[in-house]
Amino acid sequence: MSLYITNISKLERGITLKENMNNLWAGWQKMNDNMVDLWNKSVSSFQPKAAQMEKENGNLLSNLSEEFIKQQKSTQEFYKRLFEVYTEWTKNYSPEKFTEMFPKNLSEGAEKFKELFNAEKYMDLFKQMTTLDKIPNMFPLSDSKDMMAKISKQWYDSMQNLTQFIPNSSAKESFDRAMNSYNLYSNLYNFWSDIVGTMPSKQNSEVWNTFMKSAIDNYKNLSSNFAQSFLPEELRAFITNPIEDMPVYQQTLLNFFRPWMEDSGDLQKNLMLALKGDKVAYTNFLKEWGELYKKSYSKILNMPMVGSNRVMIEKSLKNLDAFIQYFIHLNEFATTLNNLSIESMEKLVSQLGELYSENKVPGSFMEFFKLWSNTNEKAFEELFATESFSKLMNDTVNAGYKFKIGLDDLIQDQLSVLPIPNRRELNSVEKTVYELRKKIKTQSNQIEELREKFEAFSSKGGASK
Amino acid sequence: MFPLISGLQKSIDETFALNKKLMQGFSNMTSIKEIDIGTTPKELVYEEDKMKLYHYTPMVKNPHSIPVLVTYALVNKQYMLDLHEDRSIVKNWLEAGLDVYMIDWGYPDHIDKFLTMEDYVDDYINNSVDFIRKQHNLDKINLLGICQGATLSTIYTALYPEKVKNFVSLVMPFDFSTDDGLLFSWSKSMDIDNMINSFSGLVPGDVMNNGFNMLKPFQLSIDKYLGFIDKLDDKEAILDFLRMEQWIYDSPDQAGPMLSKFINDLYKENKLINNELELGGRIVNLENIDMPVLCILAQKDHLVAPASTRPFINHIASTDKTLLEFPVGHIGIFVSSKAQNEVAPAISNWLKERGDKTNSKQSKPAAKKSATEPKEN
Repeated sequence: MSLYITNISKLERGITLKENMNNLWAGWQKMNDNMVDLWNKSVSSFQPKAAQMEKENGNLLSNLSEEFIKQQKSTQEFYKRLFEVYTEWTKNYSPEKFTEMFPKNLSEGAEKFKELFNAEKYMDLFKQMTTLDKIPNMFPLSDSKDMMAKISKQWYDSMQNLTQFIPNSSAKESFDRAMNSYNLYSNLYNFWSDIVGTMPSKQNSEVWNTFMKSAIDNYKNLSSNFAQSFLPEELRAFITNPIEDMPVYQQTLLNFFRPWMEDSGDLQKNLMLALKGDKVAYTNFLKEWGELYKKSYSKILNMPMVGSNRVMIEKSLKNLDAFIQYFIHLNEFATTLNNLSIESMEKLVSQLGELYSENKVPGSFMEFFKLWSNTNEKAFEELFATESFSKLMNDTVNAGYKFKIGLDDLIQDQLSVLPIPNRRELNSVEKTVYELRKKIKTQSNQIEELREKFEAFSSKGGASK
Repeated sequence: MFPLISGLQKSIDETFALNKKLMQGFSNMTSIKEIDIGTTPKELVYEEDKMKLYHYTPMVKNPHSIPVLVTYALVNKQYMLDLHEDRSIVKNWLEAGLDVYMIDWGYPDHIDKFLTMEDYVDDYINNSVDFIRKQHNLDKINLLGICQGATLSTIYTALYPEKVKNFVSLVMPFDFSTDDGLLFSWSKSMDIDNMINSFSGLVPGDVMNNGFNMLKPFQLSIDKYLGFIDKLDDKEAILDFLRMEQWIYDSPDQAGPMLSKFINDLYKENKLINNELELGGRIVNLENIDMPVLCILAQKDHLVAPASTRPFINHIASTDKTLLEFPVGHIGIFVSSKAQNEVAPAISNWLKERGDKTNSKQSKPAAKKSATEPKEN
């Protein structure tokens, strides 16, 4: 029986590996095609200048082009071979041999990859192109940004594919975190280049507001995608799901509670201001909405029920109430952080403008990145140190945990009809084990003390025969 | 419209350099088979439930006759003191002639989630101390607590002063009334019991870690990893980073009653400093701490604010008491060059100066609150 399971497992793993390899191969081919395409486009964009450049620099460009295509071909050849090796490998795969097979193939693969693709040489060629003084405007600002963005993206994608080869370990986790940071770093470059490259004059407030709104939306996506990757596994769903549901939920609330809202002047006023982009008004709207909710609908959800299913209905309604309360807090919490993030962004935009007027623009993107990071860190540290934030954070966390407790309880109620133990039942067993363990320890100590006393007594000749 | 940066060429160079390092890093990372941590030879000498007591193999012929027991915090692992042989505080102490025992709290699971502070102090620490006393035929041994482990050791020392010859605390949270440092201000309004209940009595280590990371979100979640990419072409630097990374994210889950008492009685109500903490029906009276005491803090500590540690020596009865401050952070006090050159020797010298089994010095004259001792810059 166990042999059968092992064989099935081997077969399944072999198939999965094969599928993975197919996907990987397809991904690499696509990436390589993209690289060739990018190169061709880049080369064609230089054509008007090519004759002049050839004149001044010999046949550098065509050499580079040939070198690049050669690299691409050898890379593809290599991957075809590597794919064949891995296909063969998956046929002979067995869990027992896994540890000895994998690292050997892996290190050989990595070495060959390095040798054939010769990334350093390839990048050196690119770098060489960018440093040639005699080639004027080879990379004008916008083209360069585009080029760097594409190169960064392709590197990110290809490295993501490669990380599949690193066995699961803390080393892999660290590498993944480094990749996340790298991704944010490259995206930030594009984002901020767009900002300062297309920034309108502040004098024209309408254009300025439209510009900032669009920039803020993009910035929110950028930062929230990144932040989510660092949330602990246990809490990710509890935080990301409500955030993802927010737009739908907001629309539903807007429709469902419209008459109620229309009766409240302040609420309506703040909502209107919030819809126009007033951040403070939005926070106030959330607070007022929450208060009104607690005074009205929350009471309905918490009122006693009657009938045979009353316990279940009460729990469900209370949990719905807990979710809404959590949602309100999470919304306020997220809005506070978003507002701060946007304020920091606006502060940075002004700071960059000032630096520009003083002719002190950051010397490189890394310098800018440090400025961005320090500006944000300082702003967050200041906010975190306030009593109001501490309260807001704890209210949000508590509301979340309250909702989780209720939800877990409901799930256990539903599962209790199944012939499997649930957490409540396990808690009872675990508590008993803990208490028994303590009792055994105490009694063992007592026996030991008695034994020592007895031995002392015996050694004094006090024991009767 | 203006350019984001002035040095486009420099940025292109930086991007290429990062990409190159990522590629070299991939090659380096795949060739790392194992991250060696805690390699100083040691022997498991006692265990109780998940707790293990290790005895480090002495490195000198006649080690100091009063052994020292090290108790670490519950939220991370004790091998921080032995991350790598070149940065091992333990090895430093062994070479200086100390005889070192260390508690590994293990990884509590649901069977252990009912553990109380009494279980940790009266059972695990006390039984470890008794084991060592018996092994060495001693009435008293040296006790050294670190971070939360120092707070627990202080409580132990106040309850069992007759078993502690000298007491050393490192980066200890003691006065919880301070608002220096976010942990102290955030904890005051935290409903820890709600959190514990929501995880059925066992708070995952990852949740605690996420809270620690939030204290410096940009530095700990982004800057650190970009810095890591910069080191990816250096295999030794990668290993150093990975050792630290493994330690940081190696966070045991926390037993509910222990965590609840620590937050509610200490962070919120600050009972220890006021001699109001109760444990197993006894009041923890700091006046019982009358043996020589060495208290060490890190001036740049973002987790345990110096203001929380400094008052300790003013609340105990010891006449021989020393406060040492080092210009490092909470982690730097264990892994920096200062840790090797100044912190570790300061501890071993201080312990050795206070005599061994045959030559036990009496208390030295008082309290030297020293921001300048030893030299810090």
